[in-house]
Amino acid sequence: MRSYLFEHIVSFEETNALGNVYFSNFLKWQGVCRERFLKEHVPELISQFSGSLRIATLECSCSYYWELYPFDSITVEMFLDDRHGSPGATEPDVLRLCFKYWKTDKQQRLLAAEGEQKIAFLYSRSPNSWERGHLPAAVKEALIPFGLAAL
Amino acid sequence: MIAEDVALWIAAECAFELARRYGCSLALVGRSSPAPGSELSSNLNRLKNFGIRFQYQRADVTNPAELVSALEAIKNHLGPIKAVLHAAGLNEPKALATLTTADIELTLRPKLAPLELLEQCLDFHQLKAFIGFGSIIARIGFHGEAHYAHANELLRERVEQLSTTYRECRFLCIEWSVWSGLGMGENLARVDTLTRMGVVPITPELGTEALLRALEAHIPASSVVVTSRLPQIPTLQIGTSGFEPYRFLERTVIHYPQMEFIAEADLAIHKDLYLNDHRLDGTSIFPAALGLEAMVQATTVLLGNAPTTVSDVHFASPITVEEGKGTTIRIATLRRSPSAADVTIRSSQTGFQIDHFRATCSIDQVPTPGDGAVLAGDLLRCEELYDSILFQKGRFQAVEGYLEAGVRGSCAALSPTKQPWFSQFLPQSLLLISPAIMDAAMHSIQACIPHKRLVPTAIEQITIYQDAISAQSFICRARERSESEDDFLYDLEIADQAGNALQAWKGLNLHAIAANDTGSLRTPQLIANMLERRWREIASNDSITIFLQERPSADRSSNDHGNRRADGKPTMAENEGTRTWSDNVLLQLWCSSPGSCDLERVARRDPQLWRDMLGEPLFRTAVFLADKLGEEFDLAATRVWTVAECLKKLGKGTAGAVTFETCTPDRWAVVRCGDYIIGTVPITVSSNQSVAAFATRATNIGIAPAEVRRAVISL
Repeated sequence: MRSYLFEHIVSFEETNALGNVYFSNFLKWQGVCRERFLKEHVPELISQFSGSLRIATLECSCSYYWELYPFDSITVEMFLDDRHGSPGATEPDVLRLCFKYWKTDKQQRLLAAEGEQKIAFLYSRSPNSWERGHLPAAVKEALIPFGLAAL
Repeated sequence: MIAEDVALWIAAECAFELARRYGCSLALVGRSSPAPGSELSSNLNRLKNFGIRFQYQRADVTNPAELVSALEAIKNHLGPIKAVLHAAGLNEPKALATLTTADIELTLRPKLAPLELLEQCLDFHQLKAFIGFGSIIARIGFHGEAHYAHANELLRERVEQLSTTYRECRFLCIEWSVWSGLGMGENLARVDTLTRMGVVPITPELGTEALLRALEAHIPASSVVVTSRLPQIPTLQIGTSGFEPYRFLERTVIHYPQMEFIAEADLAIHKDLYLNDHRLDGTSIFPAALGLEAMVQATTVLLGNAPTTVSDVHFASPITVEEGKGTTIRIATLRRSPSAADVTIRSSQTGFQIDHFRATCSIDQVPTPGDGAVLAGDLLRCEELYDSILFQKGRFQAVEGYLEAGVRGSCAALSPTKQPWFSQFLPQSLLLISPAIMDAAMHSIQACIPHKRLVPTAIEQITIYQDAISAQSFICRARERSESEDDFLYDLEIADQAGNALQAWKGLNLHAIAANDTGSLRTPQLIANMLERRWREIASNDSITIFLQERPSADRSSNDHGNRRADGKPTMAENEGTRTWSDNVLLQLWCSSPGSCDLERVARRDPQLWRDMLGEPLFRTAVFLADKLGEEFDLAATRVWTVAECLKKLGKGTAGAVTFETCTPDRWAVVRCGDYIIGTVPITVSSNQSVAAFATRATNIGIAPAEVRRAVISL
């Protein structure tokens, strides 16, 4: 299955007093990764985020295997959960995103962490009121090459 | 001995076992009459059938008059009473709130009254043993059993007091958990309920065995709890269950300290980093060496100390780990004796239905090891082993080279990896020497058997002399004990660089699962091992020895060319072997029957030149072989040339018919001339493609024939 890759080099700002990457940055990178994807694949959606559309993160998790340090090259690999591969196998209005955090160097790549999140889209029909709605059609379309079952 | 209240099956069963074991006569006291057809009368019949001398006395053991007269009758009939089994009890569950004084007194009476009465009537100084049957309920409590728990607790305390008063007598209060089929629990039809709660009932066989073991063991107390598996009960603590974290003991499934321990670990490529270095045909396989480590981790927790012996090891079925999905392994270990435990590894891949690995680990007196091998001299590198023969990668490539790489034994220098075995947040500590060293100890033997892919299937015994935290490099010396078609039995010893023996392995069984590509062999010693093993098989002759060595050409002895008859037959003594040089490479063949060998570089020649060299009949043999084997003509012609040379050395000339016998996937072509078979095989030695040929007198060929047999192809 195709996945979306976000490459990043760890900065001092992301590390803690002990020198390694503070755990919450892994979750921050999940956010950066999904935003980059939307900007690249559904740019028309970005403008709506200031108005009537929002992303709501319903669940978010991360399992850690290796420490990361400043200047480590990492690749965050984002892909759809298997369940999206068959219609009706998951709640229709949520996306389950999976993340693999690869630490890469010349010789090898190490799986430093794995994460998952469940997101939904919120729509504003009237001021200060937000309601959960369907996945935007443009998002669905963009995700078909990434394994979303076409309806 | 006297056993009272034998209406209880549990007591009857135990009394029978004691009588059978110690040969004592039994006096049985109970409230019931042995009516025909009753349980009691059938029990008494069993005693008769076993030939046990016994007497049944009906009496209420809580009634002084009845008990006194019963004891008198017993003494008169059977003689003095030497031991007592007190099993009387009354268990009528009742909620604590509704419990009355009368209920409590009724429950206490059968447990306590007989003790006082017996102490008055018998001379306890003359007793050898007094066994009281209590209940684990006294320790853990139970719904509706407050009075019964109290009665059993008082019994235990009373037995304890008696034991300090009568020191000549062995007092033991056994506090049972529920028995199956017999006993209080069954009477109350509660076994099913208890089983659902996770209480495993004690079978009569195990219960009576436990009784005998408890009697014969040294127990520094007058009471002992005998129980089978119980669920987690907050009021029950069995020993201490804490232990150091180890990789393969990720989750505890069951832990009865000192008795049974089951743990699980989720293996995954990204956590168990060695799995990427241990792939066979693309599939990651959990290595046997890490299996040994996992089994030792579990048994160390169970036994309280690291085992010194691992025996009866079986690697019955490989444990595979799928990319992405991972595999859960379950390590189950059960104590077999005070110093030994059985252990198995099961896997989620097979639904935990198979013992993939199995062993017995024990803490024994370790014998003093002999001196190990010491690193001296140059190492034979054998780089083709890791380049093309062995599947081990990365961490497992610990063989530096060989001090010796003979056909029946090897001595390898090993150095372990510094790479981590597990991902960062997993416990890294290992109890055995590096898995890389143990794996390399096994696969270093491939130098002796380079033509077959071997996997370990069993080890009779590993003796662990000492750990090797400080060792930087290791030496493994291995010797073949026996071989059959696809199984090779080796003994080996692992020592550190200073020669201190660390581990001795007896009876490592290596099983061949596939053929290796022998065409990639480059080290003359390994080629010789392959040639010897294969030519022994093909010629069905165990006396064959083959030697191949690169030497400075100055070594070529003059008599090699000197002692020949005019037709080329070397004149050398029987058994001295025949030898042949090709450039600076020496090939020798020893055999109990006449034979010869030859080695020639494959030369590019014009076919017409080959025709002139070989003569027309043998040229046609070469044409046939090139076609049959699907190989270039120069190679086939060189084969035929070496056949001719072998025959010449046997004094046979080339006049006889040379017929094709068979060919093999590892590129042996076998032809026959009269009583002799001649095998030819291409080898690469000193960077030259050459053909080695051997002629041996043989009636049968030891391998399956190819589809074309004995077609006469040249006359």
